[in-house]
Amino acid sequence: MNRINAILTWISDIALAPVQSWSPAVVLVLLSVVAGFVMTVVFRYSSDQQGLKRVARLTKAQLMCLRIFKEDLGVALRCQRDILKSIGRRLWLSLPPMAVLIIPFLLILTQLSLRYEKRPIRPGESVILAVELSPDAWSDVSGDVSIQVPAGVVIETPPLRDAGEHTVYWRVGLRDPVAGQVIVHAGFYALQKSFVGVDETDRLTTVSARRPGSGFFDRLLYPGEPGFADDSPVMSIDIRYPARSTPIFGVDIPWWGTFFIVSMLTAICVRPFLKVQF
Amino acid sequence: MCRRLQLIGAAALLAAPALATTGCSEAAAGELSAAQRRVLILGVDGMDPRLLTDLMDAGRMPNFVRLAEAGTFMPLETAAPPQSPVAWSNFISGADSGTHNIFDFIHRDPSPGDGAMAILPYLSTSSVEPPERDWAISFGEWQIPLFGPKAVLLRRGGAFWDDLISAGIKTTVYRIPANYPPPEIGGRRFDCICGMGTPDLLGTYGEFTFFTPDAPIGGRNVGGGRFVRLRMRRHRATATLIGPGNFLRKPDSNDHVPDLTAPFEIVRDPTAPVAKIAIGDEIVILKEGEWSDWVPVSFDTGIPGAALLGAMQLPTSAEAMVRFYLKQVHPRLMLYVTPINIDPLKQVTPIGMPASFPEEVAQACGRFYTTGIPEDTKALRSGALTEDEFIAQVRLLTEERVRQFRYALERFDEGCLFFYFGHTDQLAHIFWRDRDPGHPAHDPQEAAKYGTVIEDAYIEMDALLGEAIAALDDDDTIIVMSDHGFTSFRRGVNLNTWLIDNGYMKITDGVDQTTSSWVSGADWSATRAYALGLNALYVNLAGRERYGIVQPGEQRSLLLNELKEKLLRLEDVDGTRVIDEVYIVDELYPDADPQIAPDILVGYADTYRASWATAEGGSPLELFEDNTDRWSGDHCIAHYHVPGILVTNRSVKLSDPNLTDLAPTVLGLYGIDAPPEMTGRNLFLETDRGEDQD
Repeated sequence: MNRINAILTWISDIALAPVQSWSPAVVLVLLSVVAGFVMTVVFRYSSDQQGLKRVARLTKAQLMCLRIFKEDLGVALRCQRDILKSIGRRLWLSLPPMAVLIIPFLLILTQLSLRYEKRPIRPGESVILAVELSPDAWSDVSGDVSIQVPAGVVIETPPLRDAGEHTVYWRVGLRDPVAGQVIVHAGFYALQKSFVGVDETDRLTTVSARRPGSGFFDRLLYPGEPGFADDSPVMSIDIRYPARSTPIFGVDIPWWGTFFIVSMLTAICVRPFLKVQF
Repeated sequence: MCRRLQLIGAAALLAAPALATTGCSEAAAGELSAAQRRVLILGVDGMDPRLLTDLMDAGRMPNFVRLAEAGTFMPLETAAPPQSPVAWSNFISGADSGTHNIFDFIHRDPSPGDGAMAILPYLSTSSVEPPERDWAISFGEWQIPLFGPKAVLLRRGGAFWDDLISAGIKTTVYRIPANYPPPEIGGRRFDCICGMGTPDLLGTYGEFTFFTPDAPIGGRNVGGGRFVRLRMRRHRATATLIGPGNFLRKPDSNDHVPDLTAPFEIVRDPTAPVAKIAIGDEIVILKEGEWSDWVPVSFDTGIPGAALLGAMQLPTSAEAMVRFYLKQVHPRLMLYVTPINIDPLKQVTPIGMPASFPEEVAQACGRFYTTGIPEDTKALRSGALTEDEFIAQVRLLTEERVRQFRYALERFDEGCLFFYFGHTDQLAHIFWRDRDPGHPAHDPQEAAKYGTVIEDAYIEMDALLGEAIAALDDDDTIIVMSDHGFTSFRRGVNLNTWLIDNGYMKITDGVDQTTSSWVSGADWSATRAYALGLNALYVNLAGRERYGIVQPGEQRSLLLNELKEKLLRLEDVDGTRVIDEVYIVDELYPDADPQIAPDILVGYADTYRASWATAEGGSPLELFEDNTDRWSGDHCIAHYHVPGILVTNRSVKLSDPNLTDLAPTVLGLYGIDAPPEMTGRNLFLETDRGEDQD
């Protein structure tokens, strides 16, 4: 998973490089349009279009039947049963393209999340850095955890060791813009975590909020940095960056909401041209 | 006007020798359209003309000197009584208490609906009215009210901005006191953030919480806050912030609803002086002695289906914000939490006009204290904060204000801008004793440390004035004003005790006189007068007070004259005169609402003031007491002892400017005639009361 994440992040960085200086909201809308278009095309070729069209025609007929025989309870109930069966059939026929789309879709979302979920901190702001140790390592290592921050970053508090959560916390503050690595020393280990602070936060920036552990989903959801090995005393390193706001026409919708709405609208708009049956 | 005020006025006029070389003439202003003229009013609460003169003479206020040399520096006659809500209402309305009907911080309902009480005290500038109808959708123990309670501004009459806005003048007002809830301006744009009088989430003027292992198990209420017991176990503890009553719960048979709560967890490092506070989704890491930023807090009602109701735009939680101060980590963790402020980004009730304006300011400048008087003097006086910690708290909120001031100046392209600074007043209340060797609680060591706190705040204001001067043009008008000045508060007078001693008040047999507050121990059948608030004295009037015994008309008049005569003769144990002025309100403010207005306003002599017990209707045994409280400076005395300041780059033609003159003066700068209810004069045009120069 580490390798896949690294490749995808590298590709995303290259693909987004030309639009890095654009407004993040504009880029998000454009990406959503492209995703909506691509997903519609993929849906067309990965689904049984004839079957879906047949079910669509059938459903139309059943709805007409319901309208015509609404006075006849027996026939109306039969029509409703058939409509439900058609809906089920339609869902069934949608499963293969869904299965094809779900993984790339998830990977796109995790890559977008890397850029839209959080924003870098600005000079003058502070952020919490949390190092979660494995329960086994806690008693041996917790007294010997320290961090080394890049120039432009200051450690504002001593380490706070929370035995209940096996986590050591610091508050660090940004003095000057930086894109570097925080080094966490835990016993004999020295582990890195990316750190980013910028002057201008209204630009598309990759912000890895968490260097994940060894779990599959942890690595899937946090693709920005390689996960720690199973035997690492450190399970994860988190930086609590502020949430990024990407308002569209002044309305502060979550980035994933914008993505879903715009990509769906795109799919609906291009459907007649691509002759796709959903 | 008393001699002292005249002397200050003369000194100030001498300090401004260039009166004739005023920087802006009316002719110059006339070249601009009315809407283009800029008028900046900087309201500096409690700035004292004597102290300001000293600092100007010492060359420590160069920008004030510059402004005065371009125009005028004079004492500004304040309101009677010189209390902030009264004085600011005078400024806003351009008229006195007879018009706006604000007479004290505290008023009383003389015949409250609740039969258990003879009188009911309330805050004078605003109140909360119950919902129009008590309709609600009920299910189980829950209810969704269809009508909500409504905050009402009790200040009557108009405001100078009404006329400015009607004339199309862009008007922006930051935190002017006595202006909550935000006024309704039909249709036109008016940007305002409410000031003194704005409540916290609990509906009070600000209730802090102090978590400490020293508090008793059930907690301890102190004036303006609460001490709550906190016990750490294995370096962690859970605690709870108490919010308002759960507005979605049906009241029980005792008409009681449970309070909303926001639990949080505190974890400290086993050895290092650092702790973590986790509340909702927020995590804060603080070192000992550090203040947090504003932390949003959500008080969830717990109503089933909250997500669905929320999607229907129904409030299912109360959003607010607090700041934490980690006072100590080891060996005993102590944590101070500010009053639960209304969050300007998620206002549970509007704190500005339009409601989007405070939000816009918060987005540009960061969240900010929204309670009316944010300087937490109550936490200092109760021991939750030390002097240094209090100064740090004031520093934090001053930084917020300065950011907003700069933001306001940047956006100030036309019209009228009022900006208020209140910390000068609160610092003077607290640190006056450190500059008064005659104060009974003066401590030379403390004086050496805190003796210049007030001056430092003045000097900081000078720097901000410099920024304002730089941001404005010569054609623009700058007015720096304060609502009153300051003096030392050395001795407290227990006015109810005096009333008891002189047979005007009787305490019910068997009731301990010293524990009676809000005049609750009075035997109303034998009480003819009572005191409540800082300057007010009321007659127990038949037909007005629930248990009134003094008949209106001649009996009342005789009583008032008798009280006046005796009070003016009142002397301290060393023979010092205690009261310089006794105003019979009928004579001073003939148009005042007799249901609201006190019957007498007491103007104490310099260094005297009503005791704290008097303000709450209490009656200790001793008539006088030394003031050993940290609250050591005050202004609630005879108004001519504590004038405010007026510094402007224009030439003032009047020799006795008054707070009520400023509103008509501002209107005059835009060529707007003052409405008839404004009794003040135009300072730049008139030479004597009611006589136009032209």
